[in-house]
Parts: sequence; C-alpha cells; structure tokens
Amino acid sequence: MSKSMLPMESYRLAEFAAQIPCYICGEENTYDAEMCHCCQAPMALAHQANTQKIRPRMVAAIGASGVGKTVYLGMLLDMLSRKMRGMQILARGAFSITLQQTAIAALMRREFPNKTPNEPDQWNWMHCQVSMHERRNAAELIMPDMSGDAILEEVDHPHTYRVIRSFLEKCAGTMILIDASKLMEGCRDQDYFSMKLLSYLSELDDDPKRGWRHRPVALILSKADQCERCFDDPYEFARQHASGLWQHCNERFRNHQFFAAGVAGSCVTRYVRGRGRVVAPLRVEPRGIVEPFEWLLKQMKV
Amino acid sequence: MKLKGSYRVSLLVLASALLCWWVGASAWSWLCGLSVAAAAWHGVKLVRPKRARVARALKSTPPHAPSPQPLQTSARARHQSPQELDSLVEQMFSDGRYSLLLRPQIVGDLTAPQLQHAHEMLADEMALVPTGEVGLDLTDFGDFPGSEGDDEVHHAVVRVDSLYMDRYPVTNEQYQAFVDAGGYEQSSIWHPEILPAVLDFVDKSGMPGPRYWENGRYPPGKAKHPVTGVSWYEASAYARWIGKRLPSDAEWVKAASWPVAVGNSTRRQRRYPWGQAMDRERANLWSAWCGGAVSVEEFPEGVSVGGVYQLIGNVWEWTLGDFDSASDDVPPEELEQGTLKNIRGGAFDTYFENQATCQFTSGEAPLGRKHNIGFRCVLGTCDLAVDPTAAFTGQPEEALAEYEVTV
Amino acid sequence: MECAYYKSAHHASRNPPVLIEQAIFTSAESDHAVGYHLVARSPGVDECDARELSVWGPSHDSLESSSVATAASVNFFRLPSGAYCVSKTLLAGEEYSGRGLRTYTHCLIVSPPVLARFANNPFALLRAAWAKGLLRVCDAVPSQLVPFQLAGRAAPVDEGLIGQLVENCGASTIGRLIEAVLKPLPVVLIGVRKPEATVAGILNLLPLSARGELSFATGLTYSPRRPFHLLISSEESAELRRLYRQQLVTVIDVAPPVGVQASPSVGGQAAASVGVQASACPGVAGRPSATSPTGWGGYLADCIGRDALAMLVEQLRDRKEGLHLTNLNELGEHLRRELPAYTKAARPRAAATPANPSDSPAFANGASTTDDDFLALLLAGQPHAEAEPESDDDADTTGIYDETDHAAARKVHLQRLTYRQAPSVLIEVESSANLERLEKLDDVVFDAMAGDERALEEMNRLWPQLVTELGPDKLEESREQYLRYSLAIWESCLEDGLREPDRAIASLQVLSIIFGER
Repeated sequence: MSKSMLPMESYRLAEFAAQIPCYICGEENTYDAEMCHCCQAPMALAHQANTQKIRPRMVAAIGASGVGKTVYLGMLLDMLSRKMRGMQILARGAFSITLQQTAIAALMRREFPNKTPNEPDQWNWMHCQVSMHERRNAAELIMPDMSGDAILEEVDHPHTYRVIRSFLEKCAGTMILIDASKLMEGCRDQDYFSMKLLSYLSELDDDPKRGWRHRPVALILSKADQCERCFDDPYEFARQHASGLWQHCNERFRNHQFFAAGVAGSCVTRYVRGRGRVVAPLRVEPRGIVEPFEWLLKQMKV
Repeated sequence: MKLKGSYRVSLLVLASALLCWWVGASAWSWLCGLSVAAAAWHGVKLVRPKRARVARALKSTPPHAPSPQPLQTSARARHQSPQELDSLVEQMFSDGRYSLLLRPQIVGDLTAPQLQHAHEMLADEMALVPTGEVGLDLTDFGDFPGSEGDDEVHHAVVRVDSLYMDRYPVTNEQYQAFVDAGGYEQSSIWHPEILPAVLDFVDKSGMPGPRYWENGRYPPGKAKHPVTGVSWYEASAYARWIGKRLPSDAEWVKAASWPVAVGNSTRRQRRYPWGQAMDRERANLWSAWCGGAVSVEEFPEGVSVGGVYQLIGNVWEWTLGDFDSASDDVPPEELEQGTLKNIRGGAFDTYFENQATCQFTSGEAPLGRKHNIGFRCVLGTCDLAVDPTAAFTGQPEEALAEYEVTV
Repeated sequence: MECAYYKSAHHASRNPPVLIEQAIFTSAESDHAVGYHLVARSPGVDECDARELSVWGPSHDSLESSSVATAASVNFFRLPSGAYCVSKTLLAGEEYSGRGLRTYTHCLIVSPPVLARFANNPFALLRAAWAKGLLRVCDAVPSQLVPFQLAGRAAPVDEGLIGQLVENCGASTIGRLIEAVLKPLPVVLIGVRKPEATVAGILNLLPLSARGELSFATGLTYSPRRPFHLLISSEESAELRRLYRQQLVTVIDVAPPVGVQASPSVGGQAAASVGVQASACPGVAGRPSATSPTGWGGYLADCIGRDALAMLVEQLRDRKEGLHLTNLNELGEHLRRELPAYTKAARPRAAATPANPSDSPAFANGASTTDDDFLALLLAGQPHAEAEPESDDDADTTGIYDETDHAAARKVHLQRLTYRQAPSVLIEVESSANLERLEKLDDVVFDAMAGDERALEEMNRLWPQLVTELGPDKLEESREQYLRYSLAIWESCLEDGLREPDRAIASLQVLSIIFGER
C-alpha cells in the first residue's frame, strides 16, 4: 500500500514546489499562496483557470469613489444568480459570493455597503460562469470590486496599483459608472473623472486592432433613481450633463453605449450617533442593472 | 352628457361646499373656498398653456380671499329643479364621486333609487375597516446601528376609528375623470403652498396629468392599471375632489394587517394581508417577474381579510404620514432634506420581501412623481350617513367574524 | 506659493532650523480627487514622498477599532527621500459621501536630524507636536498646510516605559518579541493592553541609530499594501490566522494567561509561562516556544533577568552610529557573553549599598575598549565569532561604566519604575544658546517633578533668572507645557491606579514656582 502512495506524494510535493503565475499580473507565486505577493489578487483565479483548462475573460466595473460600484456589482450578481432575462450567473468558489453577500446584506438592513478599502487585499473578486439562453456554451468571467480611490490614484499616478493596471490591460470590456445625481446637480467632477478613466484606458492599450478603441465600454449613469429623467434617455442626458465625456466617447471609443441604472428607490441622510451622517437607501428597487451587462457580453461575443 | 352653464355652476358650488365642510374647514375658509371655486370656474380658470396668465391669476386670487359673492350652500341646491338635481347626481355617479352624495347634509335630497345606487357603489368600491387598535412601528430604522432603544419608543398602539377604504388602488381610468373635470385647474382642492408647483404637474406632452401619460390621456390598454407618476399633492387633490382622503398610516396598516385582539393588551397582526409568510403568487413584487405594474384586478389571492386588494405589491401607496428617518439628535431640516411622505406596500420592482410587509414604510419626497407610486383613498364612516354594519352584507364570513372579535 | 509663515520660519535665524512638513490623508472631495487621497500637503513634501504617503495611507476600515473613543494609531515609516513619516490616524469627521466616519491621518514628515533630536522616538516627537496644538483635527480639511519648526528634544531612553513593558510582559517575552522584530517577517502583537506604550517601550529597547529602521503602526490592520514591520492587533482574527498560515507574519500574544502575574524579576524560565506565544512557529498562535531568545533579544532578556538594566540603559543611550537592525543580533550575542562577568562584579557592592544607586557596583567598572573594538569589527563586517570568550575573571575589565559615569544610571529604580515623559520642550527659539538654556530648564523641571530636592532648589534660582533674561513671553509656552506635563503625570497616575503623593506634591511645588505663587 505504501508503495502505491509514494509516487503520489512525490507528485504532490513537486506540485507544491512549482511556482504558479498570478492570473492577473503574471508574477510567480508559491503553490499555497492565497494572494499574489505582487498585486494581491486572489491566487484562486489562477488555480481555477489551471484546473478547468479555461481562460476566464475579464470585465471591469470602474468609476470614481462613491459612484456605487459595489452596490451595482452586488445587485447585478444577486439578480443574475436568480436568473433574469435569460441570463444566469453561477459563482465559482466561495470567495466569489462574498461581494454579493455583503452588498445584499447591507441593502436589506437599509444601509449601503461599507466603502471599499484602498488596499487590494481587501477587495472582493468574483469568478463566475455566465450562461445566456441564446448561447450554447457558458462563459467564464472575472470581475473585481475595485476601490474608486485606488482607481483614481492609479489613473493620476500610473503604476501605483499594479493590480489595476494589469487587470485593465487584460479586460475584454468595461463598465464605467458615473454618478447621474451629481451630474444633474451640475457637478463637473464626474465628467472629469470619467474622462480621465477613458484617457487612461486609451493609453493603456492603443493597439489599432485590439486596443481599447475597439473594446466595448458601457457607460452607466448610476443613481438614476434620483433623477428620473435619466431613465428616459440616458444618451441625451449624458450629452446635456456630461458633454466632455460624451464627446470623448464619440471620438475615442467606437463601441460604447450609455445606460441608466438605479438600485435605491429613494435615499435619506441620517445622523447616527457614533457614525455621523449616513446616507441610507429607503427601499431597494433595482432598475437598469442587467441591461448594460447584457449589452457588454453581447459585444464581447461571450 | 353635457351640462348647461347654470347647472355646472350649481354643481360646482354644491361640490365645493361639501368638500370644504368635509375637510373640516372653518366657515371663513369654507366661504373662501367657494368663492375661489366659483371664480376659478367663471373667470380665472387655470388654463394650462397660458402659464403667465395663470400665474398672475393665482397671485391675484389667493385661495383664502374673501368672496364678494353671497354664501351658497346645499340649501340653495334645493332650489334647483328636480331634473337639474338628477343630472347633477348622475354626473357625480359617473365621476365616481358617490361618497359626496352620502354625506348627511346631502343624503336627504336623494331619491330612494339614487340612495340605493350610492350605497351599492360604496359597497362595491370600498371595504369597511372596523374600529380597533393596531400596533404600529413608528420608525423603520429600529434595527439601524445607533438607533437601538426602548421598544416603546419605536412601537405604538394606535386606535383607529372605523372607515371605508378603496378596495383597489386608484386606476388610470378613475384618475382620467379627475383630469377631464379640470382637477388640475381647481385651486381650491390643492394645498395652498403647492399651487405654484401645480403648473409643473404635467405629462409627457406637457398637458396636466400624471407623468407617464401623454396628451392628457393614460396609455392605451392601461385603464385598469393603477395610476402612477403622481405626487403626494396630486393624490391629495384627487382625494379631495372625489370626496375622500388619503389614509393615515395606522388606517393603512390596520386594513392590511387586520389585527385581532387576543388578550387585554395583545393583538395578533398579520405580516402580510394573507398571513405570516410571503407567497409570490399573491403580490406583484420583483420576484413575481411581471416587470411592471399590472391591472388592479390581478393577484386577487392577495386580498386582505376586509376585502382590500393589492395592498402589498404592484405600486407603493401614498399615506398621510411624514417619514420618520429616526436621526439621532439632529432634526431633519438640518440634514439638507425636506420632509418625506410615507409610502407603503411595496411595488412591482420591490426587490426584498421584507420591504413589502404591512409594517414596512418607505419615504418619498411629496413632489416625487415616480413610476411605481400610486395611492388609494379612504373615508371615515362618521362622515357618511350610512350604517357601517350594513356594509358587511355580502362580505366574507371571516371578515364578519373578525369584526365581532375586534369591535 | 510660499506662505508668510513659511518665509518667516526660514529667515528666523542665520542657521535656519529644519522644518517639519505636514500632509493629511483622508477621504474628502478636493479639486483634483474624491475619496481617500492626500488632500493637503505643505510645499516641502516632494512628489515622490507624496506618492509614498498615498500608498501607505490607511483608508476606510483600516483602523483596528471602530469606536471613535479607541480608534487611533501612531504610525512610523521611512520615505524615499530619507525623511521619516510620523503620523497619527484617527476616526474623525464625516466621510464626504455619507458613509459614516472617515479615517483621518495627519502625517509629519521629519528629517533625520530632527528625529534624532527626539532620540529617534516618533512618540516623543508626536507628543511635542500635539502639545503645540499642531495635530488638531478640523472638520474641514485645511486647503493649505505649512511647515513648522519644533524645538526641543527627548531623553534617549525612557526607563519608565521599559519598566512598564517588563512589568507587563516579563523578560523572556520581551526577549522573544525583540528577536522576532529583528527578523524579516512582519510582527503582529496581540493581547496588548496599551498599544502605544508597548511599541514605545519596544522602541526604547533598541539603540538610537536602529530605531528609525523599525516601521510600525499601533492600531492599523495588516495589509501588504502598507508593509509595516510591527503592528498591534486587537484580537486574533481570521485574517491573522490566514496570514500566519501562509507564514507571512509572526504573531506574538503578549497577554499573560489569566491568574499569572508577570514579574520583571523572573528570568527566562518563568517568563515562558506568561505567554510568549507562537513566535517561532507561525500558524500556531498561542503555543509557547521552548527555545530561549538569542541575539539582541536574548541580551535584553538576560539584562532584565539579571537586574542589569542599568547596563542596558547605558548601552541604549550610547549614540554610536552604524548600528542597524540587521547587525544588532551580533552585538547582542557579544554583550551576552560579557553580561555574567558584569553582574557578578555588581552584586556584592549592590548588596552593600542598596540605598544609593549612584554608588552601585553595577556601574563600577567599564569595558568600553572591548566593546568599542567589537563594534568597530562589527561595523567593518567582521564576524562576531572572533570575539573574546566570556570569562568570570575578566569582571574588572569588562564592566561598561566607570565610577564617574553614573548620572544616567541613578534614575534606574527597578522596583519602582516611574512613568516619565520628557516635558514638552516646544519653545519657539531664536538661537541655539537660548535653546540650550531652555533645555537645561527642562532638565531641572523634569528632575524636580520626579522629586529631586536639589533640582527644585536649582529651579527656584533658574526660573526667575530666565524670566528676566528671556522675558516672560518666551517662557509662556514652556509654562504651558509644564502644566500639561503635570496633568499628564496626574493622568498616568490615575490610569495606573497608583496614588503617588510625593510626585503630586513635587509637581505642585514646580507649578507654584512657575506660576509665581511662591
């Protein structure tokens, strides 16, 4: 009996000794590392890709701090895990459910989820299988919930966050979230931040055939529940309230589309002892959540 | 049927008098209301396309301005000919304003068939909610960190007088009557502070009406859908026009949760109108996959014990109460937001089932005209010359049993 | 554009004092960004340092505690420019997007000479800055920050803090703790009651020149993004378990088990029972290590165990340059070999004259030549294996201190260690001569408050003299600092539950002099 065990043990030892490249940044890591020592992406992504012999595609949800990336992604995952519009998402690995779980738990308590920390090791990653009714084969996707602060820091000072750069280089498409309620108030910051993001993407990969110019970009006007007009015609809303972004997209990105999305029906600012002013959602009624993702997948020919 | 000018004046005067009496206005405001209504009808009727003129008219004729006209009451109506009165009553029936005819002051002028018809309409369209106590969560932020405290602070027992509640939310068809009757142009039925904003209550084409209508008409095929895209003020104005009012929170919760006293101080209340557990077949919430509002006649299984439909799901419903955001120490005005009005019941896009219970309250700005907020009206039995117990005729036996237990 | 303050600070004297730059890292909406970023910085913070500050800056949920009352962290690390960042992180103000309280970090960028004045002790510098009112948190983040000068200095060694650490942890725990700190893996301490005092104590156990190399945070969670070498964690979390499962950190539980009282007098054996846990074997927190500490940690443990703190303190005070965390272990091993001889010589005389520490044989004989030779070899990269074998017979020649060098040692009272902090020495000065005089005043006040009668008499003479020569305005700030220091003493007494009427009376006497009541 012991003889038959020996080769297996040796094999396993050899496996443990081998270095595994991180799926995001490509740096070598030890077999049992949970996070990449270089970019702090979960090594489970690499292990899953290796064991399943597939190369998951990557989709980014990016935007400035506080635009609602965590809420959007959490809601999207929860809705699609219940199957909607012929689409269904199945999480791969327990870590892939954490984002959905934390976002939904907070919304059920009528709170928004906590701000995503800047530290990449604290981010939630999602590796999932997406099936669409018109496609025979399910697709594999990787989506992280990255901190808006970190994204802006990387955009302003490239190479500050290696994980962001490496991930965006490999993304097949992206969703850029823009706070519609702030645009409605006349705040130009959202316009500028999204233009910065688009410029960053353009420079990241300007290959004439495969560069970001040709990759699909869904521009999601988030928090549209606070400015209902946005739902009527997102394209026109963007033209009026984010003219810089609108022009930039038309000039630089061939494959883009504007969408409006909202999760909270209404919000209220409350003062909570020990926590200060807190914005709380009064009810959850998702609107326009699945459409941008569906469009993106179709454009990516997933 | 088109009425002659004199009849229309009489009708207006009668309706206005009743309205003012019903809302509990003082004699002075009653007089003012009448005069403004008459003036609005004859001379300064709010004409939508001529906004500047309307604005001037509103400015020059404040709703409480003393009227130079002599007081006109229902007594004067008695001087109308029987034919004129019959026409007036018919018009009110067709507009669904039967509740005005059942007022103690008016009911004596009705013929027996008219009274019978009014009673039938009341029984068909409204359900009786008996007198009794109801437990009410005062704030929905009781579980919010930092808001913990004494249960008594967040929970109250409220006594509710018996009332009639619309069996269904107000439909597009019903609201059309209000729009057609020039409801948006009758300043007397609007809250005085909101008059300048009334001009902005327009549909997609700029005509007065709910937000999602076009050319003053509801979308084709949606006659029986609940009216949405109306602000709290529009809902209130409609309720006044039709002779009813919006429900208080206690009344709404009582109608939905149907409390039954099980001891001296305890009650058994339902989490949902049909029982304690969510049943996706009984309410149009997100999980029902309808994707939008449906006819008020759908989801009949979700009826309450008292016979009220769609209290949960389809559309949120405005109530009278102000939303309590339960902020610690800081008054709402310091939180850079105005007072919100309560909405209850959840809607077709309500994602979480715990946000569509009888007790759950959400808030919305009273000027908000959302795609998923509608309303229904109520009427106190004390305002009607009707024997409440008679209204139980034809009601489910269960309701009668509950009535006996509780009252 | 330079502000007026900045210019005046530069032109205040011929030899411009080194300025301390400032920066604030928190969540706010500024002209160029929203969320957590460097929202303000003084003009002297260069771009490279600014980027590093952003990388190390703690964002939402980075503090170990979520309660406003207890959430705080003192952080220290070196910047690319060679300057040090000494920062304080708090929960203060509201997050701009309505997501509760924000994490607010005020960074002081300090040049090595300035930090050296404070004995390379970030806590002393931070205390001084706080006393000057420079670390006040405002709801609205200031749009412009100005550099400032911070006069003063700190004692090289705070025996009080060392004493506290010894009392709380025991000799062996301290030895292993320092041993772990000198290894490359980050160290996370759990079971710490007073994080700041503990880290300050650990810092005091390192030679001056090596202190700047130890990056630490007293209340931040571990993150690979912020590679602090020493951290304090409130509890053994799942995150920590994961980290030491991967052998990424060393976790040490310094809390004594219930019912076991740590004692400074017990040696390595007893200390093992008070809970050094899982330092050598990451992944198994809470398991005592059987091996005794080696290197510098072993030397510290031995010093504490053999009542040779005076020798240790003197060693720590020595301002020898060139000692680094990497070569401390070798020095420690060398000193350990000399320790038995030292203590053997010290014991009989200590027994003969216990009342007067200044006459203690512990400080009798020095072996400075041997020590210096070793150090020279060490710095030249020679292996320490060449060092002389220890010999009890060499006692007379291996002692470090000579009879006359006992000024510092007289303050060592092992049995009754007083918690002392240098009084805040922040006085705007115009010349180094004035600074020296004020520093002398500080020393006198310091000693007087510690109960030294002679110092009190000296102060009685010195204070009016300085008032006359420097003018009351220049002493106003000193007066305020002394008052605050007295209050600090009072608070520390209350905190420790010890009533020390002697210290209270001494403080009152000092206060009555400086406030002219006498």
